[in-house]
Amino acid sequence: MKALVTAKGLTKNYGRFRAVDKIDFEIKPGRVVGLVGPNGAGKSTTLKAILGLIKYRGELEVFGRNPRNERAQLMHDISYISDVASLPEWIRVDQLLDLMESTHPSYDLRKSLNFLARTDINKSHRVKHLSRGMKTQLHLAIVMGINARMLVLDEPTLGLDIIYRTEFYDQLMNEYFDPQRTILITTHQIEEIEHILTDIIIINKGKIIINMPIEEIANHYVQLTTSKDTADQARKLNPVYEKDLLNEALMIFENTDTQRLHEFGEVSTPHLADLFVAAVKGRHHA
Amino acid sequence: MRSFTALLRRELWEHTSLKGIPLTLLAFVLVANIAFIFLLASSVGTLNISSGEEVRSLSSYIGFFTQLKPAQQTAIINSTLITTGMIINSVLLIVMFFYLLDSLYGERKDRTILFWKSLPVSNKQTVLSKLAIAVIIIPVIIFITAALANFITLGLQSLAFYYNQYPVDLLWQETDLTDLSLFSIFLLIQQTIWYFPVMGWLLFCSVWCRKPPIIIAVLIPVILVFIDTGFMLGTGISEILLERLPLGIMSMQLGNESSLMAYNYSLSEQQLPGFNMSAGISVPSIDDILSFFMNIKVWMGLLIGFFFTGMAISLRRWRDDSL
Repeated sequence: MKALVTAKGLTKNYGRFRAVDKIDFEIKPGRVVGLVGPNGAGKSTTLKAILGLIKYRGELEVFGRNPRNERAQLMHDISYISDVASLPEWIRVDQLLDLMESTHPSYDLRKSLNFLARTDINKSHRVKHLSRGMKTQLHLAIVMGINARMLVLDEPTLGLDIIYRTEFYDQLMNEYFDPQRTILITTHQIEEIEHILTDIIIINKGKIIINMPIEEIANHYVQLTTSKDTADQARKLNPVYEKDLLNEALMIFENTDTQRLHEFGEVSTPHLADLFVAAVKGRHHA
Repeated sequence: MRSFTALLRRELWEHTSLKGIPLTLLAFVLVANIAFIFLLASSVGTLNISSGEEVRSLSSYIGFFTQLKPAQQTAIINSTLITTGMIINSVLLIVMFFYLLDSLYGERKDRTILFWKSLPVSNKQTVLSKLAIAVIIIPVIIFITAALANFITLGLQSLAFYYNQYPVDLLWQETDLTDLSLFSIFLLIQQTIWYFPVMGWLLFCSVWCRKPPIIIAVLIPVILVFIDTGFMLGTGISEILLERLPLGIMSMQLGNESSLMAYNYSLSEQQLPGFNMSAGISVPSIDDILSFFMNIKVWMGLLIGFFFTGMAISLRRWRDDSL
């Protein structure tokens, strides 16, 4: 299946600071891809390059187009939500919907209105009078109306409480996502999206350190929970990450002999949150 | 086209001053006219007309007016209406100045550029929609506001005539609204073309500057003029900049003869080429129009305006939410 996004040697410098450093990746259709990393890792820069918002070096193809020259055309196929602060504060909900309908050729107003009908948002409300949670709902209502092939979310739940965050992702998966659509999400709060991802790209200091489908993680990484007594022996197998628990130690191993690990304790597939910390912090003893 | 008109609507939604200030100006014209009529009606003040005769009341003022020759009556009416129009024009040109300066800077300052760039709308469309507000919508607003102000003024003066038992027809007979409208339209077109390079410059500064653009937009021309005149370089850039920079009424010198008795309206040919009228307003002739468009300064200005607009479109491609 042809990739929707292909990056080869993608690089972006801000002055002397290299925000993205020669990264390669592909995003295939029908996937939910998490582009995760700590603050300043290069996530938003990568997204901005995909969306044609910044200059970059290297090769980047999105829907067969060069985003540097064809941003407006790309936006027919891509729907983009940055954090909720990007919605104009002065606009009324009905004006926003009118604008979407007038500028987006594939916009279906009824879908947005159906979504809004289940919220407390009134069409005469101005964005500045909405709470952060309501702004997120409004943004989601707009996304529902756009018949885009790819949805790009940049820290979409930043500043929201846990109720709205959970609801946002539930609605996104239940009401928006289907196998014809692709979602690319950046966040540094991996725990809230790990249950919806099909692929993960972990980026740190501008470089990709993990890039694989979720189902392959178990083939490459294994988590060992071992007692303090046997931890020293397990440590000899070179864990990539280690964390002290109350009376135990948690270790993550990469491409290791899983059978041997069973001798030291309980073996499982690592949670993405632990794998993320392991990947970012490297050989670290927490 | 549908998305372009939507972008124009969006500008009018966002910049409420484009509606609010004309309405405020109309309210001011209404109040000023009422106050003027009441002031005269209550005989609190006196009005000296250049003939030296004193008018002590509204009735005697109207009586004096009715005794004037038709051409003098027309001159008085035109003087009042044009002065009101010029004030409206000047205020809205200042509004336009700040609108253009903020138009592409504000979206970065409040980070809404990320939302606007998520729409399938090109940078060209976005920048041109903002330019269209300055080039088309604001002049139309100026024209409509001035026309409404004229009707308010004439309407209230008609009431004053009526209550003082003078024929209202007299006022309307000597008011040439068609000529005044054509004169205003020509003036607005000339003004828009004349200031087009300034508009392009302001748009360019709005997208280029990482600090509030007013500083750069004003500072660079001031520095250029200072260097040119201070060091007596004689490059001619000072003249080019100074004749374009004054806004509205300041660039249009009302002649010394523009008294109430002998209205004489003239514009400096150096300021607005091809525009040299005297002894009242007249509908621009083909020669006037040709003379304006034959001027090399007009074409140079247009070229510079398009250059800055093109630069603004090009620069916006790489603007994101970082200032």
